[in-house]
Amino acid sequence: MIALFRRALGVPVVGLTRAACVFALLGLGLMSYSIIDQRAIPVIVAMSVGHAFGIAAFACYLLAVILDIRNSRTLAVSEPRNSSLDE
Amino acid sequence: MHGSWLGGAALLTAAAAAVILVTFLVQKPALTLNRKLWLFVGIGVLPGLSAVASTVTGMEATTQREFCGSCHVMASHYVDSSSVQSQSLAARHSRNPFFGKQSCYVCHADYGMYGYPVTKAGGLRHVYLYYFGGYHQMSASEADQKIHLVKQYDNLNCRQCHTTTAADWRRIPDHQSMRAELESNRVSCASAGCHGFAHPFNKLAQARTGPSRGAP
Repeated sequence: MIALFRRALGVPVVGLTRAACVFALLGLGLMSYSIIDQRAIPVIVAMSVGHAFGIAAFACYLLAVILDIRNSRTLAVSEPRNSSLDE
Repeated sequence: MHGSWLGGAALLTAAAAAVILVTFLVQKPALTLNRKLWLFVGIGVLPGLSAVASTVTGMEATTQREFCGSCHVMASHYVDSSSVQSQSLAARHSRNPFFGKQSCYVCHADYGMYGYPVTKAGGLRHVYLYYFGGYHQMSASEADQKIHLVKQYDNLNCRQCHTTTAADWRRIPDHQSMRAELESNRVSCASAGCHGFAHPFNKLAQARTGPSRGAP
């Protein structure tokens, strides 16, 4: 689990954000289709797979935001050192 | 589409979210704070609203008679219930303007605190049996002979509307004499000697081939 989390931290923010968009679009597609075609399978798929895609999308987005904040903090800490070295 | 304005709201919010997401995917802009907020709306807020609205619409759809009749093995039940000529108990209840469009659900749902989730779980079991329990390949006439209730029909479902405390109910001598049997489900309201079978063609089909316990 920790290894998975560390690996996730290594994923680029842009890649995560794009993955979140794709997951969200897939989930929205399934949920929208279930409104147009209200038979058993589309409704069940929308409420299970569709919602899972939605949760995955939001999780990816949150991770991307956390990583982005972490990266910007790291950058902010390292910048003064660099400037002192320049001097 | 049975849908109410909620179905439209689900589609509208999904479309709005899709516009934000596709724009982001196509334009590939830098992740500024402004973009992050837009993405929060496109990934979190709008899909969340769409999910809630589509879930409510979907759950509502699963209570409709058309939904139950969308599996071919329910064709006879659906046709009989929807027939304006039929005098079966199911058909007469389906003509009720208050709940007729949801007659399958109203008469077969479990009541009580956990009635709704229990009924929905039972519905999932039906879907499983349809696709993996052999019903998908079964002809409609074959299904008429095999389909039966998984447990005895609870008279409580009838009594949700037909109260046993009303003077009209108590006035009937058979109701009075069989009160204990009716309350303990030893005698069904929907039996041959009482108000008749809800789906009589089903009982006739089973009577021709003998009682079947091949599938619940």
